[in-house]
This record gives sequence, C-alpha cells and structure tokens, in this order.
Amino acid sequence: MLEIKNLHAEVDGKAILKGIDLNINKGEVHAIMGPNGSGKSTLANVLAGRDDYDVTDGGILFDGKDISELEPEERAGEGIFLAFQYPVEIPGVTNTTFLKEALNAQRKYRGEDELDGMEFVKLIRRKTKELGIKDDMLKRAVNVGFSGGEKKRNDILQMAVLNPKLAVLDETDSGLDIDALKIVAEGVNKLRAENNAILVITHYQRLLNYIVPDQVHVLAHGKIQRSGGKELALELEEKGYAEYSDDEAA
Amino acid sequence: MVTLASDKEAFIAQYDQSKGNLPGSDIAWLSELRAKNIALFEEVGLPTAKTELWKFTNLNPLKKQSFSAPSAQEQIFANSNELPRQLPRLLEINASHRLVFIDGHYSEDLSDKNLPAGVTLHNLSSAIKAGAADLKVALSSRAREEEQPLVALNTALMSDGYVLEIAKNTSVDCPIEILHLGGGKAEISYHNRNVISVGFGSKATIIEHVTDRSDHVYFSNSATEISVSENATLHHYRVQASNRAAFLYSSTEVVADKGATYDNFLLNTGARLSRTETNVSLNGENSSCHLNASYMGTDDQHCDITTRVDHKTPHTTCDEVIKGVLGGKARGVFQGKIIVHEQAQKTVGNQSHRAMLLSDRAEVDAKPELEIFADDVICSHGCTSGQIDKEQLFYLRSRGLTSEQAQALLVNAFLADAVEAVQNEDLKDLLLTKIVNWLEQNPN
Ligand SMILES: Nc1ncnc2c1ncn2[C@@H]1O[C@H](COP(=O)(O)OP(=O)(O)OP(=O)(O)O)[C@@H](O)[C@H]1O
Ligand SMILES: [Mg+2]
Repeated sequence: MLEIKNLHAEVDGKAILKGIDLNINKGEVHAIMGPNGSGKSTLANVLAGRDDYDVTDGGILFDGKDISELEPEERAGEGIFLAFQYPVEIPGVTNTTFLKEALNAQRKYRGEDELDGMEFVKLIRRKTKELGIKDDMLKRAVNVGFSGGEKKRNDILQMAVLNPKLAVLDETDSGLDIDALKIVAEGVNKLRAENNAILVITHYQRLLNYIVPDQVHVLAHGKIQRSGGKELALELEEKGYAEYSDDEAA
Repeated sequence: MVTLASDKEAFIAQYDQSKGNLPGSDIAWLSELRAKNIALFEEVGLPTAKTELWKFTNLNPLKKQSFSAPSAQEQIFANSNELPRQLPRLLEINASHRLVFIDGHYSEDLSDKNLPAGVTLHNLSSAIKAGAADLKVALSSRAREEEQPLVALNTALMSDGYVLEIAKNTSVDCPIEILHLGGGKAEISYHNRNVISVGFGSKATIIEHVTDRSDHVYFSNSATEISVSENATLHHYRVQASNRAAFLYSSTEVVADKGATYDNFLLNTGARLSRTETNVSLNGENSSCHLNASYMGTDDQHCDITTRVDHKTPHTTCDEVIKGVLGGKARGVFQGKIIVHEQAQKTVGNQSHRAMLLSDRAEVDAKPELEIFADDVICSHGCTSGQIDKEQLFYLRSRGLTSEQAQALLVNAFLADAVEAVQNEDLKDLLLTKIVNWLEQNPN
C-alpha cells in the first residue's frame, strides 16, 4: 500500500531524511522508533504533504500511485491521515463543523455523496461514544483549551470519523493517561483491517503492547537503520539508541 | 443643479448657494450655527494627511471627484421608479421596523408607519420646524469641530436625517432598521444629521444599513448625536456595504449617563473609502460601551475605523474588539484612543485590534493610544497584524479541506470573533452570513 523509496527531504536547505526505504502492506501495522530529532515527524509530515519540506530525491507510492506531487488535501482524499505530534488549535471553528467539512470534502474528492446532517450526527455520536469523548467537546473550538491528552484523543476521533486507509500516528501515546492509552489503542485497532495500514511513531514500547506491530523500524540520522519484529521495541527500550549514535552515521 | 469640484471652495460655494433653502433657514440659532460651522470649515479645510488624526487616510481620491448636492427634483419622490422593487432589508418584515433614506432623503412612503409605542420619529426638517429645544442642544453639542472639519461641513449643509426619541422606561423589543440607500445618481454628495436619544431606563436596538443600488460615485457625509440616559441601553449596529466607488464618512458622538450602556458593532465591507468615527463619552458612573467591528477589504478599498472613548467618571468600562481582513491592495486603518480622566477611578478599558493580511500588497496601520490620568485603572490594548497561520492551514488541509475552504474557515472564524458580542440572534446570524458571503465573493 505504501512504498517509500530512497526518500530524501530537506528543510531550509538542511537534509533531514537521507534515503528512507519503507514498505507497508495492507493490513499491517508498522512502528518507527528513534532518537529525538532523527526525522520521524519529518517523515510523517512529508507523507501528509506539508510544503515546508522539499523532497529532493526518491518518491512515495500510495496504492501504486505516485503521490509526491499531490496537495495535502488530495492525499487526505486518497486516504492518508496524520495524527499530529502537536495537534493544532483552531479558535472559532467547532469540532463538529471541522469534522463535517473535512469528511464531506474527502467524500467529494472521491466522488461520493456528501453526508446529510442526520447521517453525520449519527456517525459522530457512535464514534464519540466508542472513544469515550464527551459531547460537549464537539461544540468546543478545535483543540482550544484542550489538555495535551484531550488533543491527542481529538485527533483519534478525527481518524475514526475519516476512516483513512493509512493512519500515521506521530507520538499519539505521549501525554495520554493509562485509560486514555487503552481507549486510543482500541480505536486504532478498530481501524485495523484487511484494507488498512497503520504507521505508529512512538518512544515507548508500552503502546506496542496494545497496538501490536508487524514490524518495528529504527530511524536515526535520516535513515532506517534497522528493522525487526515486535521484540526489537523491547530491545530498544533496554539498550537505548547508543549503537545508532552519531559516529556511525554518514 | 450646480456641479462642483469637491475641494474646500466648492463646498463653501454650495453652502452660499443653498443656505436660503436649507431646513430651518428662518430659524436664527440654526442659521448662526451653520454660519459658524462653514466659517470653521473654511478655516480648517478638508482633512489632510498633515493632521495627526488623518495621517493614515488620504482624502485625495475624494478631492479629485466633483460632487453636487442632489436638488429637490432629483429626490426620490420624483423618481421612485428607479428604485429596486424590493428594497434591501436586513431583518424580516415582522422582525423589524424600517425607516428608509434614499440618496440622503427620508422617504415617508417607503418607511414603516407604525413605530412601537414610546418611539417617536421625525425627519430633520420637521423636527427643526417643530422647534424642539433639545434639538438645538444636540446639534450644537460637538466640542471638537476643529478636529472634525467634515462634521462642521455637515452642520453647515445638513439637509435631512432622523431624530429618533425613545421615551423613558420603554423597552423596544423589535429592532429599528434604518436603510440608507445611495447610488441613485452619479457624483452627488449629501450630509445627513441624525439624533438619537434613549430615555431613562429604556432599551432599543437600531440597525443601520448603508448600501446602494448602482456603481455610481457618491459621497455620504453623515453625523449622528446619541444620548443614552441613565440606566438605558442602546444596541447600535451598522452594516456598511457600499459599492467600490463610494465615499463614506460617518461620525457618531455618544454620551452615556449613569449606568447606561452603548453597544456598538460595525460590519464594514466598505466602499472605495470609508472612515467611521465613533466617540463615546462615558459621563455617568457605571456606564459602559462596546465598540466592536469586523471589516473586510480587497482591491483598492480603504477602510478606516477611528474610535475615542472618554472615561469621565469612576467605574466606567469599555471593550473594543476589532477584526479586519484585507486582500488585494486594500488598506485598513484603526485608530483607537482611550482617555481616562483624572476622576475616573476604577476604569476598565480593553481594546484589541487584529488584522489578517491575505495578500502581500494589503496594508494596515494601527494606532492605539492610551491617555491615563487616574491611578486606579485596568486598561489593556493590543494590536496585531499578520498572515493566515500556516500551521492551522496545513492542519485543516491534512484533513481534506481544500486550501480555499481552509482559508475561508479560518478567516471566517477570525472575523466572527468580533460578532460574538452581538446579542440579537437573528442579526448575529445575518452578520455571520454576510461574512461568509463576502468570503465567497472575494476568494483573494
Ligand atoms: N522547519 C524546520 N526548520 C529547521 N529545522 C527543522 C525544521 N523542522 C524540523 N527540523 C529539524 O529536523 C530534525 C528532525 O526533526 P523531527 O521533528 O523530524 O524529529 P523527530 O524524530 O520527530 O524528533 P522527536 O522524537 O523529538 O519528535 C530536527 O533536528 C529538527 O530540528
Ligand atoms: Mg517528532
């Protein structure tokens, strides 16, 4: 489903991704771990189409289609979703309005009918219930005044409503309390299906107890340094990233 | 009809020619008042950028035009067939009482006859004829004509307007809508003078709608005197949506007594050039005002909002939230002065002006001024201007909104913030819709 080949990206002339190769098949969950500043969020943002980053080499295929030139909204329409490491506050725009506009914009992109008010309300009710999100949160402005954990949960609500083919979760677990972590993991696992794929970026192996990955990758110095099964996460938790330290980068 | 270039001399000539026919020309105090004001106007002239208060708004485009006064024959009464069959209306027929001014002239025929109990309305000339004593006071009350030469010009040339009186202890539930429809003829100017007084303990909502029915150039120079008596509340809203050739100047002077509230909101999608001045004098203890506005401009529009609040007694409050969005080469100006007089302890004054620039060529000038002579006050002001937030834009787009949709949503939310304080729900919805419509018509 997702094929990243020799991806190079830079920001303000500074090279950050230096040749990423990564394949994720339908139905799979992959995890990326790696030291701070290694380029994990950069990769996530490049996938979502943020234009601050210049792709200087390599490419991204999604469902066999080259998406490198697509706008962020087109990628969303194709089915790529990014849960942000730092979800953004949007004063004056309520969660409901935002969800509705987003869902209908994506449906329109795919040539599907827009949902009417009733259908939308039903969908939202079901999703908020599943994720244990209070209704009053829907009337509030997107992420404004939300606690750190609430913001993360709100991103997961968006994911649940938009039902993407590929969800990229950038440190969605950080800042969540234990119960919230379980709820979020459940939400992610619900999305997990034959036709969907999930890329989880995390610093903690704990999340991977709930969302069990098929593969774990270590990203350091802009490259995937090592890939393995879920045991790799345990090993990293024990040993840290010392063996991927600067000297062996190049 | 005489055609005149609109420099100082032209207006003075207009006065000389028309003074015998202006309303109240046979009333001594009024003739004297007009004479005094035309002399003052002659001395000061049309505002120029050399004056501190007009530093950011250049009237040269106005001076290049030549305006004439609409003569009696050209008034609405003679050519009402030119009017659109449906006059613009902000609120539903049943939800408002409407007064109609066409090219500066009050139209009794087109206005609603049945005003709510306790509300009296006269047009300026009949009020002058009726010889109301307080009218003399109201029309002579401006203390700073030197700073407001256009108001002096208005006083000299005022030919119509409304005098609206709300009796004491009257709660007028239904808003009074006042339509000022311009654009009937190219290159005319008019000088309307309005007086509003809200009696003790009364409550009313007035919605002014300034718009037009053509692309003609015209100049509307209006002035309004408002007094809000003890414990009274006036909600005074204004929607200015004129064509891109019009010049609008409006100066409103408000006096609030003890416990009175003056609640003002301006939605301005503008004109070629608009300047809206609002001066509030909080004369009585516990009086308060809101001066909120949302303005939008594009192409070469110029929008100036100038406010002044005088806190003259203890425990007075003012809140100003002004939001602007500018695209094209549009220019925005905000000047906000708050003066806390020596005796006005426990004053609370909050002012914020935020502008969003949608194009590199759009510009905004903001000048907040606080002059505080009392020591126990809480005052804050903040002025910001900047582009649309990129992080927010990306966040919305990453969820599927097109960049146009995302921008419209953000701009709308930005502007709507200032509409929040509007209490009439119908009107609030209407204002929000106007913002959305503007965004749709001006994608920038
Ligand atoms: N806009 C930018 N301008 C300059 N440098 C940037 C910019 N964005 C990212 N970087 C740099 O790129 C590098 C990779 O950042 P990135 O956010 O991808 O790291 P990360 O792996 O997600 O780290 P963390 O684990 O702390 O979230 C960092 O050194 C960061 O400072
Ligand atoms: Mg990161």
